[in-house]
Amino acid sequence: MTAPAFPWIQLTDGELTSGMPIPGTLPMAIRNRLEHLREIVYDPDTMTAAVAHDHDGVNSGLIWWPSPNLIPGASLNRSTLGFGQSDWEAKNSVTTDQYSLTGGAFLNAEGEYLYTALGGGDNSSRDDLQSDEAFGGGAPMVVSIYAKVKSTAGPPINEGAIAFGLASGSTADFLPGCKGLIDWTDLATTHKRFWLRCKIGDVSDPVGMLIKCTEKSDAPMVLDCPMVTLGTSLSYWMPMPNDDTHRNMLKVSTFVPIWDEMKSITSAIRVPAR
Amino acid sequence: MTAPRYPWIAQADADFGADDSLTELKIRTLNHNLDHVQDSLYDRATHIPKRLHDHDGINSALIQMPSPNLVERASLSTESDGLGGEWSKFNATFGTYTGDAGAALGTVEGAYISKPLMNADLNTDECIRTGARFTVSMFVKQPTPAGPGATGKINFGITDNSVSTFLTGCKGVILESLLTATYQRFYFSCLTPDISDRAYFLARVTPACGSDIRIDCVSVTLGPVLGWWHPADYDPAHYLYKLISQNVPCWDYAIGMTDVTRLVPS
Repeated sequence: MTAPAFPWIQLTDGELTSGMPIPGTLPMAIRNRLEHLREIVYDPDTMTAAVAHDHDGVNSGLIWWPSPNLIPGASLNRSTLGFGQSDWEAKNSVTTDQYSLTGGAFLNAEGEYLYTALGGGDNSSRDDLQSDEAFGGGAPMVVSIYAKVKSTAGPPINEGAIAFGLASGSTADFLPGCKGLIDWTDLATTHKRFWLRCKIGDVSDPVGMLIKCTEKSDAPMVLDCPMVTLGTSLSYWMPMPNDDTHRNMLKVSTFVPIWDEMKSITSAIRVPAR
Repeated sequence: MTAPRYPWIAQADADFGADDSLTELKIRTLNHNLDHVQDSLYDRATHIPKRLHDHDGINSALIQMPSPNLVERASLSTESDGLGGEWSKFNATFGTYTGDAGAALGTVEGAYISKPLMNADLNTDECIRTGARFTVSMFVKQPTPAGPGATGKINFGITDNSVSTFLTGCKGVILESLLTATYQRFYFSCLTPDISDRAYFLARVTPACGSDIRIDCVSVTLGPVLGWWHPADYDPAHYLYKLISQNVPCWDYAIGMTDVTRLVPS
């Protein structure tokens, strides 16, 4: 940044005491202070910001671009769940639909869950990625998921809830501060996107995404297009690069508004990380 | 952000009447307000902006990183239009990627190239609904420039499964008279209206140009920001930059990023 032509002049309260005459230099000092600030704020010739900061981490705060999606098979439908080999570990009662129909995974019984390791792998020991080494002392992550109810016919007696977030070596418990809750009353018959920001601590087991029904509901809750990215910013849902099931959006559930700016970005619902 | 040394204190016009005296309080408040602004703006010692905002959407406005390219086979040559090629076209020919690549069209009114975003499994109608923010770009040249008096135009942008009509506000117009013998990159950002069909990329010539133009390395990405041109993530024709048109300056910083021509969509 170029130094301003008018250096900053510090005026102390002592120079501005009542009873003292206003010296001729005071108005000019105040004028110069304004000129200084204007030079900092913008170039008067071009009306552009004078501080050409580009968030490179040196001239201004680093922007952490979101990583690609760390979840393989992240569009939840019969192409990714329910036909033998799958990146997802599911409690048996979880059902799905075809990607070209409603898509999504249906959960409504307490304890039902879906789990997948971040980064994929061969699933032999949950994952090839040794998360404790990969994450060291912890990593900031953004976790998101689309959710809706399959039907709202009749007032349900049991209004369920879904928890989503990150777990490590468990399909029962979430990592501290890495769980979000979606209540039945938050949902509609069209998808909304929910997300949270968290930082995982030091972990000794591989980390994965866990989606779990925590309260029974009479009608299924439909979950789809989960995403976990490194960093702090929410971004558009995309399949994991090299995701063979979803290469270039193949077999992605067609009723999820993944390119809808309002539903996916500007009006996405941030939930507290618990 | 560290709190400024002094809180901001609003001063009304009435405090500075022509007949009012300049009191100690007034001048001190003015002085403290200047300190407040300076403290908020930057670190005096380093001249670095003080507020460590990182545009994460919470401490400051979200910067939407461009998505991967949503156009498969986006480097235009006989290789990308070959087996399984999904480009539809009218009076357009594709060159060889090692030679005079790109899609050549222009001398026939209505000549076009068109392609659905991503693939046929994706129902883009449902993806978008209340509107998608796209940034659309392509490289264009005219090997024999027609010059300032030329009247041809190239329209490009997003359609809903049409090869003639663009979605409202999603069309960029390139004047033939702007074209040179070397590639320039043109782009615009748009928000789609609600659509009822699949979203397509379309480039169409109307009215016709005096000589062929060449279009190459098209890109449609999510978000309002222009990014470098890249093939789609898992592009069957361009996996790891395979068979990319070799004479397009897609990694040229000036041509590809800083000197690009931004168009106002219509």
